[in-house]
Amino acid sequence: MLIEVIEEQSIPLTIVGLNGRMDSSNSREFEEKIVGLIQNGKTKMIVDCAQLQYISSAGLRVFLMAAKQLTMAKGKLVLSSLNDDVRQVFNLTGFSSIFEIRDSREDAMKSYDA
Amino acid sequence: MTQTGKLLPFKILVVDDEPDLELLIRQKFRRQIRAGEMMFAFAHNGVEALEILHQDSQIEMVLTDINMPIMDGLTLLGKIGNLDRMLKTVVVSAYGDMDNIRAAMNRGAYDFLTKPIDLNDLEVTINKTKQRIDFLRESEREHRLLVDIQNELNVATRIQRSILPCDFPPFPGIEGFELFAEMIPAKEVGGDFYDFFLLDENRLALAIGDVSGKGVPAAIFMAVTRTLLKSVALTGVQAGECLKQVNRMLSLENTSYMFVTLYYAILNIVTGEYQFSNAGHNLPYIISAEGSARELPAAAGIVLGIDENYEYQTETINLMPGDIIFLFTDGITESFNEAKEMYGDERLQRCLEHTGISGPKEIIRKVVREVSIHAGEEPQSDDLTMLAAKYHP
Repeated sequence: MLIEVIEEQSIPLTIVGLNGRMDSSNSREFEEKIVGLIQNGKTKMIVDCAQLQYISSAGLRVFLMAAKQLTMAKGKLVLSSLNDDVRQVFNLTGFSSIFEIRDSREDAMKSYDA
Repeated sequence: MTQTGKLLPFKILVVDDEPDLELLIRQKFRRQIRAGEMMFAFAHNGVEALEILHQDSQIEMVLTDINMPIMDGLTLLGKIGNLDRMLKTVVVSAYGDMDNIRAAMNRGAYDFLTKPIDLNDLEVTINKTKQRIDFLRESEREHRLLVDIQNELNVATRIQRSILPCDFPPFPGIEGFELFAEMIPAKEVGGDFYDFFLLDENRLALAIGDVSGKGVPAAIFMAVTRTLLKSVALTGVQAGECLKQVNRMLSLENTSYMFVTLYYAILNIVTGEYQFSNAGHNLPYIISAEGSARELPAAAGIVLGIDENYEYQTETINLMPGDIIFLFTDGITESFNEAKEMYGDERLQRCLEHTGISGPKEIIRKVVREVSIHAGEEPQSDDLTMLAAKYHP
């Protein structure tokens, strides 16, 4: 799995792009990256899942952790561009109801405009 | 332990029959000795040296002459090699005495110095030896860590295996259903579990769940969930209420962000009433007596452990005689083959449909077989867990 971090200066916010499969073999890497960003004060975050092909429960756990920590830090996490398989996992586990999910990266960025 | 170890002095045993050497060394390294960085012991032959080594297990370096009375340096080297401890030996030989130097190196000496000893060279050699030992200790520590991790994984496997019921048929003398369950753990244990027990003489409780993550933390979370579920279920509450109470207890003080998916159902083995509630788990299949298989929908409920006030719905259907409920975890549908294709819902449905076989055990065995064929040489990355119950009044 590839993790790409982009600092969007205009708003400003942090966009984390995921590419590949996230399971227990690499979710820790994602966890460390996210925790590092939050500790560095990056509290407005979008995780772009357009290239995320698969997510296991270990990966969902990191999303959950990130959302809770960002909320505590008065920031927020918005997810964007989930493919159908990943979306189905979010629906089945009830995660759809606790995450802010947008159809595209642009929509996710707009959610920070207000 | 490692931190305190670094504060201890580096202990060196000097073995030489020349008494002057002790004075020279104490003089040369007086600063390090005073600072507690180095400590020296002295022996005058191999026998004395071995005695000191037996008494002081913290000596990590031996500096030895070769020609000495009673026991010479080469013999001492051989004996040190049998001690089985972290010890590096540096030999001192006459300049150009290549035969002895080669013999010493072949017997496991770490390095050599020539006489007369250049004290600056000795200092460099001591430092180099110490660095080498520190490195070896670090490697040893890492190796132990790896062994510990392996042991931890074995612990997780044992936790998981020891708490899942595995006697079939489970309740001899009680009729109205057939039941079978199986869990095939992955190499790195996931947190899958299943359970079944009688709530009273007519009602059979069925559960299947999957904890996020792997290893010992997942296994412990799984064990706790299973215990909570059973204790709440036995109070006789409806399926949704049962999940609500278990969820509340799991959510309190859950700082690790772990969660568990859980499907809980109650089958009345007399009337066929089937009541269920789902906390984010895969939907089960229902296989009719005629052999058709379909997903049994359930209201989406959130996984257990993250929203302490969540209300779970209870739903009820009536099973027809011969209906089989097939519960499973995502290890089945998310089993990958070498081309990284998942086994998937469609293959599973085809596997369950019109099998011509009617027993829970046979159906589970067929799924195991087909998933295994699909996976081929690709290693199993998650637990494979299934529970099938047939209403058989």
